[in-house]
Amino acid sequence: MSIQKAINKEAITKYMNVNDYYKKILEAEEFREFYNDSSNCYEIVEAICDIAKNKEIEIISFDVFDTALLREGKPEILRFLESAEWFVGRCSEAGLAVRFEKKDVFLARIMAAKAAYSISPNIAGNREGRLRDIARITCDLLGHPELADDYVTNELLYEAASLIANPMLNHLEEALPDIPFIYVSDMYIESFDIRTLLSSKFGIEKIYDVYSSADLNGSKRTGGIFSYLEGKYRTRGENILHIGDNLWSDYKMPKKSGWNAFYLPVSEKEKRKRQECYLQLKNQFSEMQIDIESQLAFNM
Amino acid sequence: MANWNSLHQFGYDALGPIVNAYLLRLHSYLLQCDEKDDKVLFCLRAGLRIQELYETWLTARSTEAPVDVELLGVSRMMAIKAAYCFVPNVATTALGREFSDCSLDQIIRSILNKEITSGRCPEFAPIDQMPLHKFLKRNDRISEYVNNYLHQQSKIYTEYLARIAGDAKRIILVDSGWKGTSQLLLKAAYSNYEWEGLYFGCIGRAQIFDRQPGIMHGLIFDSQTFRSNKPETAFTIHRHVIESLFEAGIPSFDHIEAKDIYKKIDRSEFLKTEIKEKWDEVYLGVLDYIRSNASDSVYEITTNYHQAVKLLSSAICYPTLDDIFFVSGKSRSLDLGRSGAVDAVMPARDRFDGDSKALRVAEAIWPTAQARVEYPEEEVEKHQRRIVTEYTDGRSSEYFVANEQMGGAIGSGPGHVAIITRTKDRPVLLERAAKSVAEQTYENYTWVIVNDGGDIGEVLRVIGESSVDPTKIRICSNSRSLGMEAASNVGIYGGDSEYIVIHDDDDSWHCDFLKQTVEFLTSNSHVYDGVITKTTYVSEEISGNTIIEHGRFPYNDWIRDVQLSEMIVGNFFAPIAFLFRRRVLEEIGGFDETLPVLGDWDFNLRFLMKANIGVLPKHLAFYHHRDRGSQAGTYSNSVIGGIDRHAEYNAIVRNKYIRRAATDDEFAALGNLMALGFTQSDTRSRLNNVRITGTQTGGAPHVSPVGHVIGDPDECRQAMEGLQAELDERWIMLHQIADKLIKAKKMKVSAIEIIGSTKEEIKDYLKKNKIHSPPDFDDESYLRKYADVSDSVSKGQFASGFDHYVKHGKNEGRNRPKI
Repeated sequence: MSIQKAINKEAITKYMNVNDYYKKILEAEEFREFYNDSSNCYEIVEAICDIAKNKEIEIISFDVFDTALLREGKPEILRFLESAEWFVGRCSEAGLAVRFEKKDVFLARIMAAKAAYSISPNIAGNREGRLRDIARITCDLLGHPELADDYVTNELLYEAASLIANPMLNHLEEALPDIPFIYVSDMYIESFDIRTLLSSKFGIEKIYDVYSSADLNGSKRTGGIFSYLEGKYRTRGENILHIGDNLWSDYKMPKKSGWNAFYLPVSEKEKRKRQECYLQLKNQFSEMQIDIESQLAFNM
Repeated sequence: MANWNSLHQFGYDALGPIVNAYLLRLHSYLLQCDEKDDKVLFCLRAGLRIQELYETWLTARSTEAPVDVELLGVSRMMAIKAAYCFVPNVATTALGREFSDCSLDQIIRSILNKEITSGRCPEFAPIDQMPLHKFLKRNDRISEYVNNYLHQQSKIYTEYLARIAGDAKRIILVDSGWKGTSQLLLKAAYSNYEWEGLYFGCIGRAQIFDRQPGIMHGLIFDSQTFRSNKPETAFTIHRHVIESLFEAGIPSFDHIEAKDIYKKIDRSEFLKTEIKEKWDEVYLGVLDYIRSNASDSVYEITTNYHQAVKLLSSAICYPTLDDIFFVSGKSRSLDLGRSGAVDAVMPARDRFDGDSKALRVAEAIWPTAQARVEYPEEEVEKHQRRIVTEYTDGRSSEYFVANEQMGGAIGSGPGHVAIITRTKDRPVLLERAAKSVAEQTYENYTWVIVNDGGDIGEVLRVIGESSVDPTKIRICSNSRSLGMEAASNVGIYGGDSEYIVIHDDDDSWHCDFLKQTVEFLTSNSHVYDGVITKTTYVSEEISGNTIIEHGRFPYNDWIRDVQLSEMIVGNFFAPIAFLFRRRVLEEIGGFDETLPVLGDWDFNLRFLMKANIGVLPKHLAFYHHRDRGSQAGTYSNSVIGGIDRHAEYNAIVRNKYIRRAATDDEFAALGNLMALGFTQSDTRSRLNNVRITGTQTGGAPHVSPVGHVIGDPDECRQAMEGLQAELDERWIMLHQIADKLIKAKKMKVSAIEIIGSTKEEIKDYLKKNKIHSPPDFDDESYLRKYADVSDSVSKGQFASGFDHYVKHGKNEGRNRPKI
């Protein structure tokens, strides 16, 4: 009855998404390919420029991982496993007599991350793990505390090898040459290491300022970083636009803190790919009688 | 067949790998602690053995503790005493809870245990039973002694802790588990430190008033329930095996002397006097395992742990008699200053009159083992499964997973909700609706906004500024207004969500509305296809761009269920409270677009003809009404602004279904019910009018033309009292007249006898005599109303209108007019 009439009324009703490019983003097979296509970037750039103009934006802030720097379609635990393999390989190449294998490094690493995040000091309502702490704990658990610095180097090299710069940022920079870009990340890697990663991908001259939750000035997740940055740049949140892929940290929390925000999600297919990979690995470990999930859950 | 041959082997094979993994995790956490800002304290009594195990572990791995650790003299009783000075209410409440089945005399003697055994405390008579806090406020000798003692203990402990903690900002307690009561008390008393706990396991969190322990880390598990996919949670069924493992045979630290302040607890001193039991061979087995296997690789430690915990979990949940011998642990000592012990498994015989198997199982420290000894072989598994189920709730862990977006897929599919919001030029309200949607904890939804002929630019602005996930928003913009019901249909059409809810732009939700309603329908899919929550009516007005709230009241709080026979009287819940399955809408058709109002009522009627609606008894929906100020036009509610139209369309909807019943068998029942519903509605309306009309006419009760007493109930009562007073006065007058008659006639009768005999003669008297009107009879009005009577009176046939009334008019049904 009424549904039919609704069909007949289609001419009166126009159906739309908030932003049409979201459909393309969410349906993208692989989000590196998506951003490599300039036409995809232009739509998004245009939308960002509209906001920048209408809201008189003075600073654009980018999330780093999966926004400014694009990862491969792998879940985190696969990255940990591969990084562990790299580490064992590097130790072997260096001729070090080590007692551990890849699976030891992997398990030690996730145990270390859990400890680092769980019991690090609470600073302004925030607990953060840091890569150097994770490295120190990992290597101690492996019986080789002296390898902590090598571990850090290994992990950063691995990250550098698996990340690419998001081409969209170059297009945006061309469209908005007068607005500085800063980079804000909730990550265990400290800002100077993230700066190194960004510089290696974008060029050192293009990296303005970088902030990480590991610097202990607050995080996006709990919101402390936003007021910190307003103070640092002596501007109000309404003059800053933050762009990122995490709905909570990069969209809801900035808005709650009075900033402008632009949500740039990872595609659904990408997320599903990562999740399927994670489940596969989880099952593999389960067959080895290891419950990975409880180790990946952090009591923060 | 037994899994183990000796207690030592049980310790070595069953518990050794678990403790090895526990120590690995403990070490990883201690590596993160800061030497300067953190003080790590191993709590007596468990801390003694944990420290020994940890040092053995470190030695085997040729490494050192990353921070300096010290033993802390503490117990729950000591923590209560320490806290007494600072938070006496918390301390006495904790004491009361721990001793809930003890007399006051027993409690006091436990508190003063050391004082009594040392002879310092003078003897005292048994203390009369009374609440503990009242006892402590008394001025008698023993109350004062107890108070002084507690203050002294608190003072000494404060100095002791200050010495131990030094300049540390954070104190990290290492202990076996489980709820953190000691941590709560110490944190409450010494809030100048941050407190955290590293426990073997956590089972919930203690709470006293609004106090909690703070951060607790369960290194092996953190759960209040058993989960079959997490075998380590079996310790929630029988944690005593771990308590026994870690509990050294030394006295509990529940009293402190001044000389203890600067004394560092030496483990070896304690171990010299330790009382060992047979079961302590288990601990020796664990110690041997640690010596042999602490230096295993991380992978080996982890896999051995997982294998061991799985096997032990099975032994805890479904123990054989052999398992009980190994896994039951030591007799559980009665701490808190009490002496004695309780076994994990009781003898299978009555302890007192009225005891039973079920009671012993319920009270046992290890219930699945108790079931094993109580029930015959063929019934044991059934009882054990029941117990295990009781310890399970099936919910997922309270942790969240960091750094991995593994959230559920967004879009259509099971559990997906389409939230339909109709709006037209109400940006102030739409902004609030956006906030209501954005704050939902349940994220599997699409928010469909139907702009029904309003300014789309404003809608896009509001949405753009909201924090609703933009990928979940769909907009339907009508170039002209189609009306409320058509707008709903436009939003609903084309979707494939499992559920639908109409979230009007002027209403709002509690953040768990979607989560709880979806859970309800998922759990009750065989009974209900729709659910409503309780609703709060919010009275408000809009001034410029500001919403001013005037009050909140429960809305139709009487609702316990949704009966079709109640719905036929009228709609009794708001759309904002109603989540339903799309499948039913597709069967019954959407909203009736011919109805400018009451479209939701019409829909609900048809829904109930097909499916049931459950009630979730929680106030999760807010029904906002602009019922103050002048809210005509855009910001008015259809309910408030369109009251006349509601009455009009009430008839139209009813008539529609009554007519339809004549041609469509499917609506025969509904048609009949609509007629019945009108009768009920009319009756209720008239009953309501008794009060409303009285209030509207200024309050004076009066009799309606049909003889109903109309007015406010209190005023009716007052009127009745007035009438009674008048009757009493007339009785007195009768009495007076009778007396006068008696005196005049010198009669030898009483006034009562005269009145009584007169009453018998009243009919005859009435026939033969003319009666003048009483003061309250409105003769003029009676004669004006009844012309025939007036004519008769004027002809002298009646003395007055009242004369006619009492002789004929009353029997003829004529009204008695009152002045």
